[in-house]
Amino acid sequence: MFRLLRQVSVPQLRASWGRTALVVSGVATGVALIVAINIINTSVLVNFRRTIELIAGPAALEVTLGVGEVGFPESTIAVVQEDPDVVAAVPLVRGTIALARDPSDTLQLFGADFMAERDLERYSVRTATTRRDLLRTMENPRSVLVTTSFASAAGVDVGDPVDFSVPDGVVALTIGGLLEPEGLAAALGGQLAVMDLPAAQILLGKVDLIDQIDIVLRQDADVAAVRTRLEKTLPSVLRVVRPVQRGRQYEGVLASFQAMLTGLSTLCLVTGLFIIFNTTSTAAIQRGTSMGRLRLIGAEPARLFRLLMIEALVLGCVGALCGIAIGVPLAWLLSGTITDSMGVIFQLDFSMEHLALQPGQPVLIGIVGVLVSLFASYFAARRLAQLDPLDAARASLPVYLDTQRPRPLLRWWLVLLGCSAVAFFLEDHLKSIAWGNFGSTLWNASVIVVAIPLVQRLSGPLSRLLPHWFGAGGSVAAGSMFRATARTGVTVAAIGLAVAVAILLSSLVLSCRESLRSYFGGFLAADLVVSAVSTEGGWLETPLPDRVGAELTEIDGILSVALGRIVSGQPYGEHRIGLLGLDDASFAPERAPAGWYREGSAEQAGRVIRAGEGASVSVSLSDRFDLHVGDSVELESPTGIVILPIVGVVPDYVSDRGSVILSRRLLVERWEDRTINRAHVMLEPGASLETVRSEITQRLGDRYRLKVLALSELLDYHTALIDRAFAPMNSVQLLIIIVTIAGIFDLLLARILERRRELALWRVIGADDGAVRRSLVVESGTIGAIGTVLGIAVGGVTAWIWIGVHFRQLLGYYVEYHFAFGATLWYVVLVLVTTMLAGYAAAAQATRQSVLQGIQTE
Amino acid sequence: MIEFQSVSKVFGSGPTAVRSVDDLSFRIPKGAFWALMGPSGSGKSTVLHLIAGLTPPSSGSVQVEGVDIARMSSSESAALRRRRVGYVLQTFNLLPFLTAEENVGMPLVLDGVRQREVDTRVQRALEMVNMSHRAAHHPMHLSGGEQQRIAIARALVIEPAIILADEPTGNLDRAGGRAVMDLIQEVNERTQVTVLLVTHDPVFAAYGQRVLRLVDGRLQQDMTLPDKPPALDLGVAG
Repeated sequence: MFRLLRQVSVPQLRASWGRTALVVSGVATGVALIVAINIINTSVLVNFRRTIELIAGPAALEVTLGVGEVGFPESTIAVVQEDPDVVAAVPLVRGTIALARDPSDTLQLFGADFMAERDLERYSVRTATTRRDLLRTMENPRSVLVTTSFASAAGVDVGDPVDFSVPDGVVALTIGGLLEPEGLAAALGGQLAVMDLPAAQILLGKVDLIDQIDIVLRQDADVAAVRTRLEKTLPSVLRVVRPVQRGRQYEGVLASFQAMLTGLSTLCLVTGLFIIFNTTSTAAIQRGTSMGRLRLIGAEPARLFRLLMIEALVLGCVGALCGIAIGVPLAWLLSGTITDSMGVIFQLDFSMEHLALQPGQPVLIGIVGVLVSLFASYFAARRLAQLDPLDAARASLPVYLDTQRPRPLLRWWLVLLGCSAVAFFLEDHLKSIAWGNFGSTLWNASVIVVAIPLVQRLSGPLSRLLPHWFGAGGSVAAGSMFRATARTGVTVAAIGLAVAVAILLSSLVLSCRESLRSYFGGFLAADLVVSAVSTEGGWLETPLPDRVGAELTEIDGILSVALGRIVSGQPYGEHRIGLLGLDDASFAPERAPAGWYREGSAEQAGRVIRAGEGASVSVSLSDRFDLHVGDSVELESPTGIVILPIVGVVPDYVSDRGSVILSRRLLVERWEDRTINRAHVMLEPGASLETVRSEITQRLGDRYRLKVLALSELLDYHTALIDRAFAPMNSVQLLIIIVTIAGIFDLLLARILERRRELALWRVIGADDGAVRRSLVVESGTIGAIGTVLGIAVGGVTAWIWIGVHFRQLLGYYVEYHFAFGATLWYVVLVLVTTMLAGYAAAAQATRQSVLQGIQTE
Repeated sequence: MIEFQSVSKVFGSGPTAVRSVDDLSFRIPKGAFWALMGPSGSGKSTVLHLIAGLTPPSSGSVQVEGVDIARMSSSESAALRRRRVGYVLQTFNLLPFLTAEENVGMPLVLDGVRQREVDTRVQRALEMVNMSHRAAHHPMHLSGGEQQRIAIARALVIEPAIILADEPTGNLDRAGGRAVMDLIQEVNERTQVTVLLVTHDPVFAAYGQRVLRLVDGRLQQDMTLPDKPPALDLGVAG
């Protein structure tokens, strides 16, 4: 077999090196992307767990409110310390601060009892400054420790005063010491600042509040028993958990996003499978004659089949190895984009210290890539091996190899369509992403299956129309396309799927953009929106004190100011949801666009919410937890359980898990949170927007780092964030499109080049080069056009299914469906130009050789 | 050696059925050199296909070296072609990506013969057809006559019991064709290989000891020729 491989396979693979490279790259692209996504997904989780472990240190238990983002009274420490098995109860307050001169440079501020230095060791943080210097400088409550990497990047050193933007405004802090960028500091990407607890509480607007208590127990303590005791002693809204459990809550949230990334990367492997299938089918037709000759001199079908499958195995292995080799650097390249995207979607900071490589996983993915190569090559290998030796001499071998019966395919199409519809129904019903991914795969497969009967159906009308429009060239083009309908169908399907994927992602992005535009430009519309420049990792700006609102109302030209506070870590059962607290003005019935309330009415809901006696819930929360008007929602707050009757169901985008929209007064009263994220400013009639904006900056600019955005700028801000959130998907899409275009180009070129003899004969009877070119461009252009029409239809439906069903389960956001007409137009042009170029390139090659050479072509 | 007993071969069915071979019977002894003649579509090539096990008879029996072809599996008929039957076609049927010597050796490679023996036998086969000097060339660099010599060497390398030659001179000029026929005849005489030649050309048919003429799949004429080589001037006018 090795000799056959060397003598038969190697020369043929070498001769058609472009096609061989396409097979290898088909596997390599898919494997590389899955390996990269897998590494990133693993790294995010490993880093996340490590951060949580470092924060927890030797603590056996943690006390938090929800997932630790909603503060609770400091007095809880004393209660915890009363337990006989508790050795230490260490409080922690944390928040986001930023460099005042560059508010995009944010740091995680930890308020800890670090004077004892125990805490620093607990966080695996090592100071670069000597202990004596550290203790002396830290007597100053304005002292802060930053990492050496941050200090170096910011150009500051110990003793230097630095302006920081904190929730309480801009404050000058002194660099009291430096932290080595290892341990927790490294896990946070060097963006760590540590202060004394009381000072941090003041700066973060959390006076007397803490976010977490880490509990260190006696060595022989029964952790479960202590936990039970504390749960009984502490208010019911507080949770006593092992650190690892808290991590799992986040991991659950991330799982759906990571599943989507894995799904998308798998789509790339599916594309690879399709490319290999096409390429090996094309190669099969080219190699049919050789295989027939081998059969003629005594090669058995089984031996040829083994030979072709070994080829597939070798190429698959090469592709998988290349994929693994490319996957690791690709993970480095994509990690920033993906963690940024996750940050935007989940409002969390996912700084990555290092990539977590688990050798077993790339190997496993590589094996999957090889299996894909074997599966995709199987069909062509079987056909070739079973080729009748006598058919090797047939002039119409390609057509012989291309015979497909339409009826079974139509039946299969209907079966696949039915199964995918059932899968999507189950996804919606069972809230299961797995069913959705399965449904999507079946739906895509159905497109491949239906393309061949579609081409067969079109053969009649197009065989009449093309000659009518393009004369003899059209006639030859139609003849060529429709005598090998299976191959034409496969090419059409490849084009259709590429267009469909492109339309799906474009429509997804457009739908998200438009939904957010109608949210921020409708329900939350304002002439100006004032917020901090820095964000907490995603789109949500860091909090500001609510006195900013009072100061804004004093500015000339401002009619009203409505403040808004978003709490993104509100616990709801085992889940994390969002709270949106808004001032009364926001609940005026006239602010709700028509049809905004999916359940309830703007008038009644506004009245009840303003009175603090009820709340609206987002459509996603309503759907996820089956909550409707008339039900109640129970929320844990620092002052106990808050039960609010639901008076409305509205679209809302503050949290992927759903949100509760309530009066900010209630938030201040029950959550004891006086901070705000945004101030929505309405101007007096005739007031100049620029003048007011400039006045705001002048009056408040020296104390807060603010951005003051007009409505259009705010919408642009969110559009840019959506683009950031979808950036990884765009990268994946680009890869899929590049590989697919290469495959389509190969298919079109191959189907034309193998007809060189026929084209030469056409030239013998008088067709000039122009006629040959026209015919081939018409042929490839027509295939492109059919594929594009199929792609638009499939893309439109796929986008509708994804946005209506799948996307809701994947990311939790409910967005309105908007078809990306503009982008589709570009894809149409791109595909038509690409396919016609392929036809032109093939024509150039066909006409370059002499007529006699063409006739002699075997 | 080769025996046809009431063999018929029908392609298709119903009103469009074509009877390519119709109730044909003959017996070719070992070492004989026979020719099959007849107009296009008379079933000449089908007779060769039946002998090579490329297609089964619709009725009757085809026996090759005492074995009924119809009872052979696909693997057994492949083995027959690999070991006992050398096939030479009008279109040469060489693998374009292999050199002349690799083409010749391919049936042995397929049969799992050790490379050293392959090399020896290939060398011998190439010497028999006087093509040793072109061993390393690819088919595209060989003339039609040379390609056909390589195809014959490929048929000979397995030391066959039978050579089936289907219009081996069809793509060659008169001189080239004669050279190929001389070669086949020489091989037949030297190795006692049985040769069945399909040809349109009476000059080349005259190389055979016996000529069967088929029309519409039936045996129309059976001529035994005198035991002498054909006159050199026979085909010049043609």
